[in-house]
Amino acid sequence: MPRYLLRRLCQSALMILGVLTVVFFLVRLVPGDPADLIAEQHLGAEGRDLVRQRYGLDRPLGEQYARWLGGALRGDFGTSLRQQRPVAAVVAEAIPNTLLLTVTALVVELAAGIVVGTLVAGQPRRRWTRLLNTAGLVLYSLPSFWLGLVAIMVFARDLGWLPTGGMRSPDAAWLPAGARLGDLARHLVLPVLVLGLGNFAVTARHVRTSVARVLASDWILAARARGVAERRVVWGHALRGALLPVFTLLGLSLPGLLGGAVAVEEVFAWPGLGRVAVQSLLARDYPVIMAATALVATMVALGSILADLGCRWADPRLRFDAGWQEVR
Amino acid sequence: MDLPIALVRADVQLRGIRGDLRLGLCLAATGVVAALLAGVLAPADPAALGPAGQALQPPSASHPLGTDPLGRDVWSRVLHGGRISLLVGWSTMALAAVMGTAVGLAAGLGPRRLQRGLTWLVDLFLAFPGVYLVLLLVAVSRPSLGLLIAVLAVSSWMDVARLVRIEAIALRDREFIVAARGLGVGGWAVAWRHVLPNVLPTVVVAGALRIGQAILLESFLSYLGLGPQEPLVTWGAMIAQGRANLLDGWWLTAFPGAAIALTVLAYNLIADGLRSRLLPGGEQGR
Repeated sequence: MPRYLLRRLCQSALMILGVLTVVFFLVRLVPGDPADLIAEQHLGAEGRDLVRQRYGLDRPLGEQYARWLGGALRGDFGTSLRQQRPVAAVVAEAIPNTLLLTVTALVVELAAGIVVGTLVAGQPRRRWTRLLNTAGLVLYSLPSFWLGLVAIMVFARDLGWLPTGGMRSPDAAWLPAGARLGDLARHLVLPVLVLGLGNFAVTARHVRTSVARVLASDWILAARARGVAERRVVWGHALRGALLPVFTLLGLSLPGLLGGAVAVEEVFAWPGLGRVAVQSLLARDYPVIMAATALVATMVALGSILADLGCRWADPRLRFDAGWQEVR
Repeated sequence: MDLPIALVRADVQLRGIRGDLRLGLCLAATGVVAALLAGVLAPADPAALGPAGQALQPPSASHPLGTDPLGRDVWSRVLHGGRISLLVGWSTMALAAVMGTAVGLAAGLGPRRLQRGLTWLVDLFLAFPGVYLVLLLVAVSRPSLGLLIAVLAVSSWMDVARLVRIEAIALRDREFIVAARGLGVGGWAVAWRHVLPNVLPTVVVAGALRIGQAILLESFLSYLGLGPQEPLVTWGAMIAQGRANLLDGWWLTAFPGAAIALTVLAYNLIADGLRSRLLPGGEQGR
């Protein structure tokens, strides 16, 4: 096991390095550079050259790459060209905001998905299953940025129940602690619902299939024969046995926790990593782009390792398989 | 097995198309026809500015879906916007399916060294964070239709490759493949005539899903202003315009978004229906 883990970690490290290298050169291959954006137009060619010199953009690409990599390995991701602050600070500020949004959405979505999926699986009539499957597809097909705008129109503009966007009201700093928390919660409701809705449908479908499969097995028949109440059979016995695939899903959703909320953050002006990424992309803010790429690539690698480990834990046969390819 | 036989088999399995699959096919067909005939069906030129006083009108008899801030007819623009979305969706799917199938077959049946190299390549591409990679590629270059399709295809062929490879590996030890090899059929012919027809259902299902995903992603990019530029009409760009008029023009946001949702839903319904009919084990999900 430790050897397998070590090999996977080495492979992942190589993979991340590969991704970073490709992205580094890709971003710089394209004509136009951030100096134009910082120097504005009125600085002229001379000012632009100065800016390039200041940020080392006039050096050969290879040297720039070596410098960046050396810094990154020591945890120094440079200075944001757009915000004139250390990249680490820009990113570190955005991560908790994104996690607050995505983790809340994940918890809500999982809880609702498990409850609805199990409820439907316990129904003998197929009509509910069909309804869940079709409704799930519909929810899964809605573009989340559009859904967000519609939610803003209905719940913020027309009904006036919830704020239109952002994370805090302008006067939040003057509120007492309890009211400040309530204010944050009110801002959280719409983004969480929009983000969670599509995944909720997917989770509910998975849970239903999984619970239904377990309900058809012999030990459930045995439990029923012993006279266990139907409610306990479904919610106690079957659900517990059916949750393993859900945990695998959880591992695969790990990278989404940081990078998956781009559209929702954009629509609701939520100051998270997705918004930082989009804005630095539009501004050619190289250092921030690189740091965000490194972060997301690491999460993807970690998520896939965790999912593999989860599968091995759930299915002992996989542990003796030499080839990692078969694990997937 | 021959390709024609596989198609006949698929035809028999699909006979009596009912329920969600039929709904999906009808929706998709309506969308394709509407996009192809947009020039005829649209009452107005999607780019033509309306007469003075016609700006930002709510839906009415003369403009069934209202007009935008420049007085252009939203219904005509929704019809024309479908062209871009469907073009992007189908082209992305076609490119991704061909690339994915070729790499998947080679990674499952080729020489050992090639197999290892290709598997590594697929994993490298998978390690790129999806949406993020597309945003990156599109943002650093000038927005254009061709580039958008290329980028979407390059970032989405991997799941087809992986599925095809897994199936090819499962197939390569089956008796009929071993028999074909024993009779002296070459590697290329085995892949083309014997393995490919058997992995086609998988490719078709993954391809249908891919169309929906590509359309979703394209509309988000267009919404951000990174998609095809004016005078081309895109649903995403229309929604961006709707966002600017969120307070006084709900129809600008509502209708293009509904068009995206219905189109994506159509391909998801098709993929789901085909999966449960063509693929073994697909029934479980029902």
